[in-house]
Formats: sequence, structure tokens, C-alpha cells
Amino acid sequence: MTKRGVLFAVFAAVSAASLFAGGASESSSAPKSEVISIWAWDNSALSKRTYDAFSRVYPQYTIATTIVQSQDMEQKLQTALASGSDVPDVAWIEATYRGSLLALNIWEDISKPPYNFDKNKVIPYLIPLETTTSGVYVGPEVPSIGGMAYKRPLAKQYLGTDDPAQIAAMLPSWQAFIDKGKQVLQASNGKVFMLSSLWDALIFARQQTNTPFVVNGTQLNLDTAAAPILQQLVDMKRAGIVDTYEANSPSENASYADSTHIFYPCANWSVTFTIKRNDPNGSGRWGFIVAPGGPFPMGGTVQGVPIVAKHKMAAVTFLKYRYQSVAGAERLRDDQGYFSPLKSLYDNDSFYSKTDPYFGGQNLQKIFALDILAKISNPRLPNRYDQQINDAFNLAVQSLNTGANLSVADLIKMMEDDLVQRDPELVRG
Amino acid sequence: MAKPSPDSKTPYLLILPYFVLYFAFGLFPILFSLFISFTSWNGFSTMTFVGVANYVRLFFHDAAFYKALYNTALVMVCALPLSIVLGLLLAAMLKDYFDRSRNVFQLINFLPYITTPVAIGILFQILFDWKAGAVNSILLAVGIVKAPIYWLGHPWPARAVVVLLLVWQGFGYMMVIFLAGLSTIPAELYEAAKIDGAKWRDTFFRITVPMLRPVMTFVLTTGIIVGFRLFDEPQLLFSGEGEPIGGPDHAVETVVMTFYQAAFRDFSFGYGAAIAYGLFIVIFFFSFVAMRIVNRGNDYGT
Amino acid sequence: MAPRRYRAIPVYAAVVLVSLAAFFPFYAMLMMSTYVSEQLFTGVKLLPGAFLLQNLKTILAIHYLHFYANSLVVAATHTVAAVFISALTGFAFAKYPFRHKKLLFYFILGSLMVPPQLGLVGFVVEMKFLGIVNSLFPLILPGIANAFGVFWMTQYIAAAVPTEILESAKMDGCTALRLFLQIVLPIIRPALVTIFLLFFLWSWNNYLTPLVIISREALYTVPLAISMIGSEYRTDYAARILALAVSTIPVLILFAAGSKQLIRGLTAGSIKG
Repeated sequence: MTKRGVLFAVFAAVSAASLFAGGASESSSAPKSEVISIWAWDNSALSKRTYDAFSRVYPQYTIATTIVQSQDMEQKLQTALASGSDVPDVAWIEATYRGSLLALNIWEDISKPPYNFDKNKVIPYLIPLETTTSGVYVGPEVPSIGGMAYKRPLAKQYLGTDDPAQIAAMLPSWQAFIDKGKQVLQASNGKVFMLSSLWDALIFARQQTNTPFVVNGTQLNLDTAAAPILQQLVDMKRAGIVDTYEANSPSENASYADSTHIFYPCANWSVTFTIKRNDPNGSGRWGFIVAPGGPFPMGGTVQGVPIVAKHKMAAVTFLKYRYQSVAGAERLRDDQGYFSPLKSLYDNDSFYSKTDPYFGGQNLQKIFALDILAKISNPRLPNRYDQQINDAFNLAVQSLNTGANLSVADLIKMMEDDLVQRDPELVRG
Repeated sequence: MAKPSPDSKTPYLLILPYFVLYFAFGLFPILFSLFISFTSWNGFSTMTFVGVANYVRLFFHDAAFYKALYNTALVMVCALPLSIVLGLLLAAMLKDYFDRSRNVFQLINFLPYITTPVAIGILFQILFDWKAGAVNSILLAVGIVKAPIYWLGHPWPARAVVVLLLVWQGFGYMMVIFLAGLSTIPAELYEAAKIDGAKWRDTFFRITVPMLRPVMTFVLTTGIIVGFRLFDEPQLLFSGEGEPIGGPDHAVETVVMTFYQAAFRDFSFGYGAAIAYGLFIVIFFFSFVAMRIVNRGNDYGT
Repeated sequence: MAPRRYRAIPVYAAVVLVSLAAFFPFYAMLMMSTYVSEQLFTGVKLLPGAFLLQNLKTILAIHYLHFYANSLVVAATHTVAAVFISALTGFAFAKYPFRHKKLLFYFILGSLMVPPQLGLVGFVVEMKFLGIVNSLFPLILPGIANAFGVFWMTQYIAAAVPTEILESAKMDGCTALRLFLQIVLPIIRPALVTIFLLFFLWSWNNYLTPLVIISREALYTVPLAISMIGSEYRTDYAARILALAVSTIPVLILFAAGSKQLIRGLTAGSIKG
């Protein structure tokens, strides 16, 4: 009996202590500095370095990050806004969720006084991506852009060369890519694939087009917008040049280190976070080219400031430092390999220039900055149904992936059915 | 016996804390949600009263809701009887054939029930991975299949995995409940049957099953109520990046997943609340029917 | 008994087989927690790997113990309160006559049919109004008034506590509360243990409520903290599984310790014909 008594006493004491400790723990740090709360999925040492650099320039501010995964951001924001507390000063808005989050009237226009974030300094193609339909400029982002990475030894064996320029010349279009893929498949007895996953093929096809999937608010436009994308996927599937791995599944990730898949979509952030991580011993094994079909945006995360945030001025000060100053751009570049949205940096070609031995000494920064970023214009605009569209694409690609002999029309019907079923206000095209 | 007078305040004082807490944190939010279900509201902007519009949409236009209902019911109709039968058989075997080791087996078979559903979702995701999961590796090694099965990529296999998951998770709980029920059956009944030369199988069907009928009612109704709440496991089982909500073709999207999606992801508190009420109506109906079927004429309960 | 033993071999085999099947995923969980995430997808892991410490470091780095403490606090306070209230209410229903008793009891039974999600949207808003959204209270409070518990306790107390003892104690001037604390509670200990175990388990494993209510990291419970392990670009399955395996320890201990009581506590309750 006494043992149990002690147990309950401990329970009670612990409970009482931590129930009320919630608020206390945060005020324990330096009382004078204003804490900017950022909801982000990256709290790596590298991003902390940027935050520390900011605090050295602006000692009155410190930055506290809360880890919120991109797919949880909406729900966490919803709860925070509904409960009216703990709303972050800056929330990261990932590309997939951008459309629905930007459709909400919850964001401060930081380009307006008193914040005066200068839109004119921003790379022009980004601005419409960061603006709501009602014209609110939500916030900046690092431009996220993609090309195509390849495994040099495989390229040498099956394409006859591992030289980026020659490979790019060999693959001027996706049709050329498919034709080449068939030869590779044959030469390797069906063992070597051009791509590891149909979802990778989807990234290229989808990001290289810009026709809206939904027009006039709620009318589906899949016949025009999705058909060419799906056609490319169906062609690749029928040619047999794409393996059946699922998107970013652990087994696809493992394929980066194998020698049966040649090409991968590669954003500037993929270099560190996907390729090097999944093929840690692959230095010198990789090459990079502009993808057939040209440069394309890939990913992208807007930094939004909620209207009800408590430290909006401080938040915008940080955003200006990080996204509109040369010092911030250097940190982005050197700590994380990110590009700055500051337009003026691209006027000279020396700011982004760094060779990477991992990619056989290619100057990846320069290629990304000059051959890709500078050539992107008019990407597809965010739409409030982006997630549903995304989900419908996943459905279609998953069906196609399992070898079913589906036509483009079948896939479009599948997507439309799914979309209309989930959102009755959507109208078939 | 000097019974307290019916007007005594004591019993009311004793039940007061329960009812206060229930009204404050049980009933009030429920009624408040009912109110919200008649509005269009995202939780923070101004609330607009829309009458029964949410319900009209739910019951007449929302095919996804019906599909989710179908998915949930289907998975339950398969999983519940299986785990009941397995739990019952195991309980009866443990009681009649195991003595000293009964506790060990009881605990082992109860383990799945105490494992966090979040863990089970992730665990099964890895075990049933198409390319590298343990299940496919074993099936291939033994030679049962020639090519790996895309468990979580086709609607029916995905449902099968969820059913398997639920049976695995739930039969131990059923076993415990049945063990408790078995211990209330008078031993004389079995002894009398044994004298008559009845085999184990005979006593199982002639004594055990009929005597456990009230327990059946209990596990079946609570099983249905709990089954309709299914969320954690399929939510985590299909949390991969290229994965549609609730797996391939939304085959295992449950009603609570639809509710969660609407209320807390799509910023429609009003519609989310309406989905929850739609589910409530369905649960009420099913439980009622189930109780009628199992009880047929018997009047158990309080 | 030898012939019976002989005939029982199929039964033993069946029970052992089912138990093995029940145990396998659990065992797999323990083994998986000792590998590097990527290795989990390279075949079946039946023997422990060498990365337990590394995974442990990973989960400690996100302050896992803090979230663990949160979960313990929530589950413990919620469960103690819910068990107490259930027993108290059950005592009144089992041993006192009062007006509208039947009606009130049916009301409680009826509330069993109500799925807890029904009030979730309203609950979030209510917590905001009460200003306690930034605490663990939203996780502790709902379900303390547990219809299941009351139903169970009423049945158990009615069957297990002799009315005569209560009457004679009352004659000696015992108040209702002392009656409850000193006489009823000790008698119904098996049932208390049982519902303590089940309530604790349910609260410990609760995922949906914290998922939609808690937005402050300091208040995360274990199921929420899991998604913090790894990064956006790499899901660290092995470390997540280790964290989840570690999270089963408290319930495992409780159930191992209470496994005998569990059945006894269930017996006099809902089961009576």
C-alpha cells in the first residue's frame, strides 16, 4: 500500500509540475531579445548557422524553430489559428500546399507599409507564385529549380559517354530520351532503366508545363493540362524505360546507390538532401545536365507571415536579411546550397560559382544559376485545388505503375472521377 | 435494512462530478459541434450560418463519404468476426488446456493490443513494403509467390493488409474478454457434459458458445463502435509521399480520415462537424441492428 | 492424464503458432530498432543489428524524454481521475436508490454510442474559449467522465460489494465518502486495476486528439513526437521504431504486472448474464 502511495505522490507531483511549467520554460532564455518563432521542417545545424548569423547582426532578435513537417503544416496552422495562440511568426509553405494555404485570408502583405518588403528586388517569375488571388504578397522563397542528374559509369557504359554536354546533345527531347531508353533496356537485357520511378517522370512532365489544371475557379481542365503529361508517362511506361519504384520510397532512395537506374530529377536542394544522402560513397559517380524539355521549377517554400502573428516586424526584418541582403544570400549559398531570390545577384556570373567534385568537378551552382534559373518564366500558378490534383495524379500514376494497360483517356477519367467525388463543387472539363 | 431515503442528497453528490465533467467536456463540445455543422466556418474567420447545406452536400453529393463508409464497414465486417472467432477459440483453449503457462500466452497474445497504433501503422508499412518488405521476402523465399505482391499499391490487397492488421491487433483483446466470460461459466456444466462423454468440441459448441452470448453482444457492439473510429493505423500505413489519402484508390480511407481531412486540413470546421454527425447516425443505426440480431429475444444488459 | 495430453497436441501447436504470429511483428519492431533505417529495406531482420545506440542518440536529440514525460503525465493524471470518477459514480448507481436513476443510467449507456470524434471540432474551440489550449489539460480532461468505466463499475460494485457491510458501517456513522474510500475501493481492487490498465493504455496511445489540439512543440506527446524524428528528406524509420518500441515499455510493465488481475477485474463486470 505504501509503495502505491509513493507512486501516486510521484505521479501527482510530476503532473502538477509539468502542467504548469508549459509557459515558464520559454521565458528562461535571455529576456531582452525578441523571439521570432518559425515553423519549419528543417532545423539542421546548417539552418541554425544562418539564424545565428542573423542574430549577430540583429542582437535584439533570436530565432526559435518548431519542427512541423510540410504535410502537417496546414493542420497545425488550422489548430493554432482556431485556438488563437502559438501562431508562428513565419510559417513555411511547401509547394504542394501553397495553393490551398494561399487561398486563405490569413497572410500579412509584407510588401506594404510598415513592413515594406521590396518586391521589385525579387526575381520576377517568383512574385506571382508568392501572391494570393486577392493580391496579397505573402512572402519570399528561395527559388527551387530542377535539372537532371545521372550516374556517370552507367552513362558511359550504355550511352557511350559520361560527358554532360554530349549527353545533353543526345537527349534534346523526351522522345529522344525514350528512344535511347529502349536501346539501353535492350543492351542491358532489361536490367537498366532510364528512370527509377514513374513519379520521377511525373515531376519532369508536370513541372515543364504551365497550363492550369483548374480554370474559372472550379472547372477542371485536365484534357488540356493533364493529357500531355499523362501521355508522356504512358509513352515511357509502354517503352518500359521506367522502373516501378514508388515516389521517394525507401527502396527508391536505395536505388540512388545501385547501378541499374541512370537518371533522376535533380533540384538544387536534391544535390545535398537526396543524392548525396542516398549515395554517400558516390563522389565522382554523378553528372548533371539540363533536362530534356528544358529548365523547370521544382519545389519551393514560401515564408509566410500570419496576420495574427505577434512579432511581424521582427519576422519581416529576418526575411529581408535572409532573402534581400547579400549577407543573407551568402549564408544561403554557403550553408545550404540555396539560391537567393535577390534579382541583382544574377547580374554578374561570379556570385554563384562552385565546382563540385561529387559531380565530377562540374560547376553545378553556375549551371543552376545561369542555364536553369535565368531561363524560367511563367511557371504554373498555385491553385487552391493543388492538393486534390496532386492526389488525383498519385492515383493515376499508381494505377499506371502497376502495369495496367491504361490509356491517357482512362487516366484522365480516373482523375476526374476522383476529383469530382472528393469536391462536388468541381466541374468536369 | 435501513435504506437511505430516496430524497437523500448523497447519491446525487456522488454522481455530480461525473455529470459535471461529462457536460463540460463531453456533451457541450458535441452540441457545439452540432451547431458548427450548420455553419460554414474555418475556425478563425467569421462564421456563416448555412442551414442544412453541409448535410445536403454530405448525404447527396459527397461520394467520398459513402466510399469511406463502405471502406470502414467492409474492413470491419471482415476483421471483427475473424478476431472474435480467433479470440474465442484461443480463450477456450487456454482455459481448458493451459494452466501454469496461461499467463504467458495471455500476455503474448495481448501484446499487439497494447502496441501503439502509430507503431503498428509504420511497422506494417515496412513489413508489407512491395520491394523490400519482410512479408514478400518470406513469400518469395518459400516459393508461394513468384513475383512480389504490391500489397499497399492495389485496393484489395491494401484492404487485406488492414484487415490482417486489425485482426492481429484485436484478437488478444477479445481473448481476454472471453477468458473473463469463461470464468463465470459454472464448472458443473462441463463436468456434467464430460460424464455424458462429450468431447471438447461438443462442450465448446453446446456450453461455451451459448453461455458466452452476452459477452458476444458486448464485444460485437463495442467492436462496431470502435471499428467506425478507425483512423491511426490506415493514416500511418499510407503516409508515403506518392500515396493517395487512404491508399490506392482511397480503398482504405475511413470516415474519420475523411473527417480529419475536411475539418483539420481543408479548413472546413462546419463540414467536418457534419461528417462526424453523419458517422454518428450510421453508428447508431448499425449498433441498433447488431444488438437486435445478437439479442434476439434475450434481454440482457442492466 | 496422459491420453488427454496426447490428444491435446494439436491444440498446443495451434496456440503456440498463433502466439508466434502475434509476437512476430512485435519482435520485428524490436529488431528493426537496432538497424540503420536504410537497412530495414534490405530483407528480413531476425537478429539484432549494431545501431541501437545510434538510434537512441537520434531520439534523445529531439528531447524524446520530454515528450515521454508529457505522455506519462497525461496518461497518469487522466487515468487516476477517470478511474476514481468511474468508481464513485458506479458506487452511487450500484448501491443507492434515487429518483431518475434508471433514466440517468440509460443516458450514460447511450453516450457509449457516441463516437468521441463527434465533439472534436467543438472541443478545439471550447479549449480556446477556456484559454487552456496551451496546456496538457485538453488531453487530460475529455473522457475522465467515462461511460464505459461507470457502466463497468456499476456492474462490478453491485455484484462484489455486499450491501450488508455498507449498511452496518453506515449504522456506525460512516459518511458516504468514507464508505467509498475505506470499504468499497479495497473490495473492488481487481476492477480498479483492470480499468486503470485499459484507461491508461487508451490515453497513452491516443493520437487523434493531440494531433489536432497540440500545436506547441513543448506539449507534444509521444505519438506526435515520432514525426519529428528524421527530416523532410529522410524518414528515419529505424529511429522512429525505436522510439515507438520504447513507448510500449510503460504499458508493457503495467500489463505484465496486472495480467492476473485483468481477467478478475473483468469478470464481475459487463459479463454477467
